Amino acid sequence: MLKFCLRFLGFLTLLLNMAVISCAQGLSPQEIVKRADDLIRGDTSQGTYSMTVTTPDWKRTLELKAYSSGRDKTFIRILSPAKESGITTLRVKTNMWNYLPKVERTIKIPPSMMLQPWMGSDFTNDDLMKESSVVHDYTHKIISEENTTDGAAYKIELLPKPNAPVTWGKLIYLIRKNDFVPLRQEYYNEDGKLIKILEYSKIKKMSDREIPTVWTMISKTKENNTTIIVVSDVVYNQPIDENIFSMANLKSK
Amino acid sequence: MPLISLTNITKTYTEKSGIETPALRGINLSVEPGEFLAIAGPSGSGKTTLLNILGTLDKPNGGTFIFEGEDITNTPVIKLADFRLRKIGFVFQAYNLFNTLSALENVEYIMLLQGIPPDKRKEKAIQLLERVGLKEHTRKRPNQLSGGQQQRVAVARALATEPKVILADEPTANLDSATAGNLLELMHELNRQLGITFIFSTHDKMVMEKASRLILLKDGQISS
Amino acid sequence: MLIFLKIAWRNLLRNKWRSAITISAVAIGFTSLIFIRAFVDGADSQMVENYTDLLSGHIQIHKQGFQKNMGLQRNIPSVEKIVAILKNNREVTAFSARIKEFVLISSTEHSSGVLLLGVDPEGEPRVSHLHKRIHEGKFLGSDKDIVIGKSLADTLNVKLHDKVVIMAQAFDGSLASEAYRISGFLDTGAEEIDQGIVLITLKAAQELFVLDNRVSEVVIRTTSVKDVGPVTAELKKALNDTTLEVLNWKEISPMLQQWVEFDIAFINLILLIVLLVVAAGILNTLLMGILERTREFGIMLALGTKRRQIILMVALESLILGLTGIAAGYAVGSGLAAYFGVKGINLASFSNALNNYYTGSVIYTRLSLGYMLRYGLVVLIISMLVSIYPAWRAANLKPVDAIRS
Repeated sequence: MLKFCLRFLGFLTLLLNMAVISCAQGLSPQEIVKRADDLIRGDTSQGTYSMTVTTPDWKRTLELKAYSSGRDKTFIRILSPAKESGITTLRVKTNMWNYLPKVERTIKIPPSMMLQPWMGSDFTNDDLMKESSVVHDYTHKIISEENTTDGAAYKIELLPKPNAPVTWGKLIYLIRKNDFVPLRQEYYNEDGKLIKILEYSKIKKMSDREIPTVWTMISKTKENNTTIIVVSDVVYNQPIDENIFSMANLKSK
Repeated sequence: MPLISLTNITKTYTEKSGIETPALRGINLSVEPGEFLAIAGPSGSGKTTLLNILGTLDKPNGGTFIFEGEDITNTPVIKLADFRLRKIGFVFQAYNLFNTLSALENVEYIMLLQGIPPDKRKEKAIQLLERVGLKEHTRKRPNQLSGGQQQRVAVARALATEPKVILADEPTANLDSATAGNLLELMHELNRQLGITFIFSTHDKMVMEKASRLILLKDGQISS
Repeated sequence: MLIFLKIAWRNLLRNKWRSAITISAVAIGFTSLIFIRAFVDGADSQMVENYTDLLSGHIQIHKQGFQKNMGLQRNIPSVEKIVAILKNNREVTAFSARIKEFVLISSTEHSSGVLLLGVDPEGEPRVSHLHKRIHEGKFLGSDKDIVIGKSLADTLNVKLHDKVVIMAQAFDGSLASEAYRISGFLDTGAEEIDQGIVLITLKAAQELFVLDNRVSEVVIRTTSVKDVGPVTAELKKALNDTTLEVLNWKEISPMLQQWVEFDIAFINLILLIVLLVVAAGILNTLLMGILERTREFGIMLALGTKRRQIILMVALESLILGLTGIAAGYAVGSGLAAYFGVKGINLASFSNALNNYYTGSVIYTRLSLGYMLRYGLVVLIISMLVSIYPAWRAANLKPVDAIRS
């Protein structure tokens, strides 16, 4: 009888231990991806960024101020250079507009232009719009764990769910284990060819969290095409006036 | 030297069915220049076959055929075209002439084959037609001439090449007796005046009587 | 020789009806051949001319690779050398420079991705007919003008003199944006043009895209749209520049060229059928004639006519039938083609389908000596060839058998 009780206790302890362990590391791959996604986005964010686009023929740097609220709203205003200064982009749900102060015209971006580069960069209009679908439109699987210069990380494979409105055949995310900082994203097309890589680096404390401050998008199909976004400053989760995400704000100075 | 010398000529026809019919069973014949010779016999006796062989239109199966000293037994019919043209004149039983040519042109035709120039041809053709008594009919087509007139044109044509021998296959068969008589008279005259050998095949008594020599054929053999 | 001809000729006359029918068969077949070819040639030529007149021109010069991958980076930095060579070539009748790039056009209500053409208002009318297809308004006047297609105007919901904005990426990577006023609407009937192309002046395009004096393409018009191959080769050689590509309309629109080739293949099929009819007709006539004249041939051979002379006679008959049929066919066929070449054949009831292929609804038949001679020769040769068998048979008759029959 005693033997049985002891054994039973031992078994219970083991079970409990396992529960504790999985509690700490019990996040599903989907959860991990969501955490990383939330980290970069925040519930709201507003910040100043610089975007440098390099092609074999030219190199340009834009300074921009960007606001985002939840998954639905994004507002970007270009601060420099002079030619593009004042150009604004607004996204609300699945609609996107540009305002061009030079011609005083608001332009709605038709769905057919979604895959076109935003402002000539390696980020498409679609990239700016659809990041949230990374959590819901894909199935996630941890395929390995790696040691990187920034720490131990999960390597997660994302495959689109059938009928999901995504163009990628596969995504690979490298996400830091302890704080879910995204380190790297690889984009593959439906034939399995690597199209572009987004590398996150220079992880620093900004606002209330540690985030990578340099985002480098490297095109694997167009030689020597890169876009580097540097986060100058950003504030997370401070309430943002709803009027920011309005057509009126698009046109304001 | 005899003009024509046939020695032991045989000819057998083989039907498709394989049945063999002997037409000539060993003919020996010698013809001197200038003869007016008739070959007579019932139908089926081989007259036409013999005449065809004489005219080099057919080849014997056996025997020898010597013409003017030359052995032409085995020379193919086609190669003898020129030989026929220059040495032999033909008068067939009927339908001798080309219906699309006039009498004059029919006579001219054979001279054309010999390569005689156009003006000479025409002149001689007119002469020949006059000779056979058809001066007024030179431009007429065969269907505008009577049977007897057609035969005369045939004779004129046969003469045109100044042949050594004229072969006539039952030339009077389709003519009435008066016309036949005239034709025969014409040919006899030509034979006497020009010395051309005439060989007829016939079963016309009139012809047989006129002939200087008569050969009787029966069942492919000469009977005497 | 003349007698043989007389014989052949008179033999044909012997059977007037038979000869007449055979000649008619040849004539009708030949007439059809000529007329259909003239029709197809007219339709094809119209199609090619209308198409190339409208937009593409006869020859285009770009930076190498531009046709496959359009882009401002693939531009021609300086046209001086090209202009010099074009002026020197006698087959070139006109040329003009263009800028070509995909842009976003937007009105207050809608935006649309379109192809923008920056054209020289003076030079462009000499190489294309876009200026003739202005439905409302005028062609380009000032650098602030824009011409768009009627269908596009409906999509954007704009009217004459409204303002539209063009947005694209410039040559230096910056954002190109500019507003223009609609000066006229294009109505070409070709959906891809009316919905997908907008025109501004060359200068306006160079400013918009920050291109200075660079251009995307040089459009060229030559003396003959059909014989564009040799001129293309000449220009390539004269330019002697591997960084440039010189393409003619056949290479720019292979589908158009394929359509033309398909039509020729179709005609060749008809030619074959006509040849069969001709051959059968003549063969039949000759064989019947020979059968009827077996005895006559026999006598000819008996008299000493050579085989080749017999063959000659039969061949002459065939020749006369063939030549007469062809001559009659020529007369009627070219007469019809000449008449409709001026009057045109109106296919308005089928016009919708045809408009899409740039033919237009009225076809003007086109005669050309080249194919007329070729077809006549082919038909003649066939009619001669067909006489070989009957002639051979006649020449190889056994005189003995022939006479007997």
